[in-house]
Amino acid sequence: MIAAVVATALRTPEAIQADPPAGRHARFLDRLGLHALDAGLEALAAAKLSAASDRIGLFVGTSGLRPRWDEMRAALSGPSAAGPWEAGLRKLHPFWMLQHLSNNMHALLSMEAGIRGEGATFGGAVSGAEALQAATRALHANAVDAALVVAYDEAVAAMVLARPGELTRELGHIEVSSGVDGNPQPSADEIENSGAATSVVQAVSWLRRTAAPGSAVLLSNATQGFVSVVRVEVF
Amino acid sequence: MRRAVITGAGAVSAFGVGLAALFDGLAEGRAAVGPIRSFDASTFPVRVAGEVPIAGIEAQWLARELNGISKGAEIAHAAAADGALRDRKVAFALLAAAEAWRDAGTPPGLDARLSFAAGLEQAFLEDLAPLWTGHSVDWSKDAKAPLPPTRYRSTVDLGPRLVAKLLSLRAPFFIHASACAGGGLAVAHAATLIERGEAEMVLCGGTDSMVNPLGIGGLSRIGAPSPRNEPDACRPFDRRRDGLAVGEGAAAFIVEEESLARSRGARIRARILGWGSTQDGYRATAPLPDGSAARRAMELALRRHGVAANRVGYVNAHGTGTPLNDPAESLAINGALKGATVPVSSIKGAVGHLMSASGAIELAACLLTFERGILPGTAHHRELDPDCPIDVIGETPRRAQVEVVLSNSFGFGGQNVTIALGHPEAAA
Repeated sequence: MIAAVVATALRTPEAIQADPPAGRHARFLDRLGLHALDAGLEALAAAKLSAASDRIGLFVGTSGLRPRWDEMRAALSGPSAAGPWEAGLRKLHPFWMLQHLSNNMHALLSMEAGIRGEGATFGGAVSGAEALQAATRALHANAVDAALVVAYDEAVAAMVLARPGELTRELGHIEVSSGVDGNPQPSADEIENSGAATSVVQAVSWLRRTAAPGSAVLLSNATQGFVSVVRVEVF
Repeated sequence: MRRAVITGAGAVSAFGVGLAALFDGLAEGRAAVGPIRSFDASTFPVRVAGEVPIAGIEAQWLARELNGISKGAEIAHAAAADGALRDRKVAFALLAAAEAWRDAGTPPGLDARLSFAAGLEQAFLEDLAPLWTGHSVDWSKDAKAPLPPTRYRSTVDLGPRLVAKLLSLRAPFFIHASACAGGGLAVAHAATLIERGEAEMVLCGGTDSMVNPLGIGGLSRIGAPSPRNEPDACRPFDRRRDGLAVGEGAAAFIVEEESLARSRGARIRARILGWGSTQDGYRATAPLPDGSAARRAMELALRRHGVAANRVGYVNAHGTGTPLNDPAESLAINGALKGATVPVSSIKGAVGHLMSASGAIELAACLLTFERGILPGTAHHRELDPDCPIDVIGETPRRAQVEVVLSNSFGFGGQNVTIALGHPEAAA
């Protein structure tokens, strides 16, 4: 089975510095999640797959479910002698847990687009490639006719920058410095590492039947060590 | 045709460490939800959980539990030194994986892959609190300190990464982050890799713990747990149900290609006959009321390898005990099984909702049906809700010999997965 990437939509580091589109999901998603959701809808529209369907899958890769510092302030903002609940956890937003679920963007995108086929969210460093691999497997199994693959991540969140403090010393290329409100200031490198990429993938045999345009062919994919390799050629 | 079978299993649950503890607890119809002991939850709205009965996880204890694995002591002490054991699910993953590995006969020389579900990255408030100035965090207070890898938070792949080290797994691993469907999807993914010839053996499963101040605090705020702080907090399919009980733990499986398993003389615990994955595409916080997407997941699980619905002898339900899940799942079950009367139970009343690990621990519970001829009961289920017109096994387990079982896992945001398991001697 050969799978083809028929549409893509990207949100580059420059693009995600703009405000994401306003909408009803803003209560549940962070900025990058909103950008990723918007890019996913754009890719579906470009592939002319905007109608709800049981035969469209959704596969998402993101680094993981991460408590972010701005929400965590509430947890630390009171006298600690009263215990963590009284000290601040009781001030967490009721949607805090929902906002931080790792498949939150997945859930909202499937809802927004009416995607009801196979789906999974992967976490970790190569999760975007894993999502693409899972999509091709679903196509191969004829579980779906098309799959939307979304990968997004941010390296600019304070909690992410905090941990690489060790990397500062070991690798010397990530500068963690105090910024506004004491949060670490992202370096240019980290901003470049933030973004969202989406692709709609379909089986070539399906494309031939439907005459949908294809722009590239995914010939193979493999995972080597901790790096996933995806080979894409012009269709 | 390549087929996937389960040749090893391990579990950590509110019944204790080990698959036998889970089996015994379920077979005896016990329930293990009770007051939280691993931290002071007295001021929290939620004060009960299906908590693994270990208050503090220490290196020496973990090293002893990992006996028989050559790197067990080394990994246990290194994890403790790094602060990784503060995240309870890390140790649960190690314990379940080690048991599954031993149960499968410590298969040597195989390039096993890893497909594991893990939950929320845990923020360590105790690391952050000293940096708090009253209005912001002063990171510079920590700038010169030696920072262990798990400072401030545990990464999503921390547990699986240590499992890979423990068992010297060098192949790439997959982290499933599909909330409550993650454990089931991790096993489904393993079966896919086997069937496609991408792997000969996969260590799979899930681990999670939200029994910590941040997890219990966040769940308290969202209001999903039962407002009663009683051991019967979770009453699946019961007319009186009012929410879930938080649980924690892990389950792991060795899934391998059937002919390979037979050739090495491995004990086959179950066959993976199929799986199905769908999405509701409905609402983030509520299941599709007609259960249609969940029903399709069940149907796909049967259809994948042509298993007839009338061969299903038991359904292990997602059964959260929440007002919305149980009626929708009942519709799904009746639809997928074409109205046939098939025994259904949920173990969440007994061990709580293990979140990302729920699909894995419930699949482990399904093995009980094949190995002891016992269908687990539904703890605290006493009055069937008329909106759940299915054959719910009450608090007392049933004896039955079944050929095929289905295990449902339905995650936040409408991600659904069903695994079809067959008796080791069941026809494909």
